Amino acid sequence: MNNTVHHNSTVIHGSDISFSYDFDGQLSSALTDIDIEIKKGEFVAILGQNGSGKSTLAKHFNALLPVQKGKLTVCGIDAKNQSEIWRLRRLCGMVFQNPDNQFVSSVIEEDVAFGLENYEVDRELIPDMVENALRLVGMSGYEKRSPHSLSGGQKQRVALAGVLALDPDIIVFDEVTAMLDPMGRKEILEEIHRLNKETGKTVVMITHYVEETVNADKVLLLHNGRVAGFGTPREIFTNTELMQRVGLVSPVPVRLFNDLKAEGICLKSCPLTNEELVEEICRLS
Amino acid sequence: MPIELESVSFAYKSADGSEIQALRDISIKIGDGEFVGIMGHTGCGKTTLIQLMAGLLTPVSGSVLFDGLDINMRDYDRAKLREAVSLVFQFPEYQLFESTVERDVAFGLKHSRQSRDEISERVRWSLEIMGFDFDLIRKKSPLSLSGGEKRRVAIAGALVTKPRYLIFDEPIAGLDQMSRNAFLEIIDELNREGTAVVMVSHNADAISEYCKRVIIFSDGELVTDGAVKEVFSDINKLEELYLNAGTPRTIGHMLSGHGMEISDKATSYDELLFAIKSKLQNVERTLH
Ligand SMILES: Nc1ncnc2c1ncn2[C@@H]1O[C@H](COP(=O)(O)OP(=O)(O)OP(=O)(O)O)[C@@H](O)[C@H]1O
Ligand SMILES: Nc1ncnc2c1ncn2[C@@H]1O[C@H](COP(=O)(O)OP(=O)(O)O)[C@@H](O)[C@H]1O
Ligand SMILES: [Mg+2]
Ligand SMILES: [Mg+2]
Repeated sequence: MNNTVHHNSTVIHGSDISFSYDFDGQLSSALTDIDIEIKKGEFVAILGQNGSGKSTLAKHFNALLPVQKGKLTVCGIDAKNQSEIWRLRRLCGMVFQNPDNQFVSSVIEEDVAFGLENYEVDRELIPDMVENALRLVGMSGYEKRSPHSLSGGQKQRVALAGVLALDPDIIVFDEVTAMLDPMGRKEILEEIHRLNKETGKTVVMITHYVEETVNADKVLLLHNGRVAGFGTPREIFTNTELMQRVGLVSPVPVRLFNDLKAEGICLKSCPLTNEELVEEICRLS
Repeated sequence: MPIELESVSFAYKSADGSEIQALRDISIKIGDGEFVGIMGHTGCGKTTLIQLMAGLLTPVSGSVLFDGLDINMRDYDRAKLREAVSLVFQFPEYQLFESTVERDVAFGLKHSRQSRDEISERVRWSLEIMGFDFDLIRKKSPLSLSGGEKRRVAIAGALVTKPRYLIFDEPIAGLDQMSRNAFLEIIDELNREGTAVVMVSHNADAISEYCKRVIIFSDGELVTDGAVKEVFSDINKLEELYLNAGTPRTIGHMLSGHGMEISDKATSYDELLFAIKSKLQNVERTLH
């Protein structure tokens, strides 16, 4: 196996990636000269406006879209290498926005097993792998239920279990919280963070909710198909000029910090979370 | 009272023949020009409710009236309802089916008596209002758009007929922040011009800033129906219903818990900023 990855090694390495969709002969450019490096175990959030290229980039990571120009290596595999495509897809799983159209079976355990069957895993091992995946997302006991009887957050956790069953190194989440109620959002977000911490899986998470990204290791900003910024949430969100340029609004605590400063009230350091904000304000009063 | 639900109940039949009770004994009146938010946990019945309002589902018991007429009566003229009420689905990608964005948005005007030029102008207006460059987007296939772009096209298609009632099922999910704000500003303006808006959303920030009235469901039942300011000031009750009161109100509540009394009426960003500013300026004044 040449894909054994060491700590701090790079799991996603893209350079100079460009991509255009060809829809009925109409070419439209979606990505231009993307350079990106994601390390093993990192939690990377991708932010950007509608049409900025987030999903297009994410679909490169597991070869749902082909590399047209540039180079992309995922877990040591060259994404252009057709013979390795299935191995790559297994190493990089993806969960999508709509909790309702990700299910293929009306029984949860069959649904989670579906991916495994596709990858010709030894049949005898499947039940254990399914059980393990459901346990990892806190859904043990739901094996025989129908996905349709679950809440939105639970559905997304089952979808995640289906991906986890394949034991990927990287999981890409494309707006998985968009359709959820506040509880469901919190539930799946905590689950993703826990997985990242406890199993060391690399996480790439696309979202339009900036406050969901404040605990990420890195934030990647896309704008018109180009990388506009890549850094820690603090570096990105406190860069007001950058945020404005890409048409994004920082989390409320950062906005309050800036607006209070404009009024001559200076908090010691710029808070990212509500908790940090309350702490900073209480220090002044 | 244009849209009226009288003791409406609804149940889905599941594949194995059993019944799933989605709504129980709901009575609601929504009048011309209102701006109503609808909230509640997933599966509480929000989508079912607005599909009943738009006549896409028929109640098991109770009745749905529009302008005083029962829309599920055999002799009811459905054209009246279709003309006055536009609905944007929760997953609008299933709502787009024409070959170009322009045709898709114009679909609702198919039977209108307006001239080609007038129709074209309306379509341009709707798409521009949703943040598109009309000339760049008009010939594209709806299938070739990103998730958020599809949703914005679907919304443009609902605005184009200038209906009396606009009903949205989770319209801002998947929109980027700028489109989200632009959308909310637009419907706010349409509302001020007289269009009634009903918006299902999990986004407490959006509902508390824009809606005037909010209706909350839980497990198929109506649990709260009141003025937005009142409902959002009661943060404990919202939490009991697994909902939150929006970021500004949540921060205000946290500050109050830490001894900085912030009014429970500060539910918007500007109100919170103002409240914090006044408190901190008072502190400075007493220090000097
Ligand atoms: N199948 C397709 N055919 C042609 N063009 C496409 C296709 N899918 C996306 N595009 C275009 O490529 C660009 C990038 O789309 P992408 O889906 O990556 O955006 P995104 O950042 O994920 O947006 P969103 O926030 O709306 O999901 C957009 O201009 C979009 O219109
Ligand atoms: N097509 C359907 N068939 C069977 N049950 C359904 C269907 N649509 C919704 N339900 C069920 O009806 C209830 C209410 O669903 P819905 O109106 O979609 O809720 P919400 O929009 O608030 O998330 C839920 O229990 C849901 O599982
Ligand atoms: Mg996308
Ligand atoms: Mg719904």
